[in-house]
Amino acid sequence: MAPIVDELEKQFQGKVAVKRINANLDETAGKFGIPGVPTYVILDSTGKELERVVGGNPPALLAGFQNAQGK
Amino acid sequence: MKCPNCNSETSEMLTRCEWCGGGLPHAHAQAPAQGPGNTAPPPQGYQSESSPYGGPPAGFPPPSDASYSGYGQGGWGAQREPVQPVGQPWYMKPSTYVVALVLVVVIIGAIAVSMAVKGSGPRYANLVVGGQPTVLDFYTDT
Repeated sequence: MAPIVDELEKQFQGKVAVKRINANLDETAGKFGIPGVPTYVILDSTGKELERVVGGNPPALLAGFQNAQGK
Repeated sequence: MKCPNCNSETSEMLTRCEWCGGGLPHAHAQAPAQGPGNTAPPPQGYQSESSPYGGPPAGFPPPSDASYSGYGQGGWGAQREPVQPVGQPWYMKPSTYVVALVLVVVIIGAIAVSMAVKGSGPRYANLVVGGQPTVLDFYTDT
């Protein structure tokens, strides 16, 4: 999934940012209750969770990027 | 006319003696409307106007409530307990509607607060990059 995320990051540059978090080292994973990796949590510009994509699901991740832009 | 009980002169227009309260054998007395409550037979020991204390006026049935203590103990109606006023039923009291209104307001308020809290949810502004919508990519090294 990493190459796909890189591609989406380029495609949505300036509109949607990507923050990579090591679930084993960062306590943020515990705050979000991440069930496993890969998991993508999509936040709006205020930090509110819009949706999350669990597992390698490129179409769902693309829809998440599209949904996030402008919010 | 003369009262058959006390032999006093009393008005013909009265159904009870104005002196002793005893019933009068009255030709002008009109029987009350006959209803379901007036059809009960007189109780055991009932005495008519010939009672020393008089009975109920002509055409009137004897009392049927629990306060009836019998004739000869003070006369017709003399010993009856005062009627207790009957309160309004609960659905007629204004306080019932006030309590119901308060309950409705409280319930609506609780629902509104619940929806507001649910809609807000936690915010992770510290994880937002550059003020843009941000995708958090949780990964592991392995």
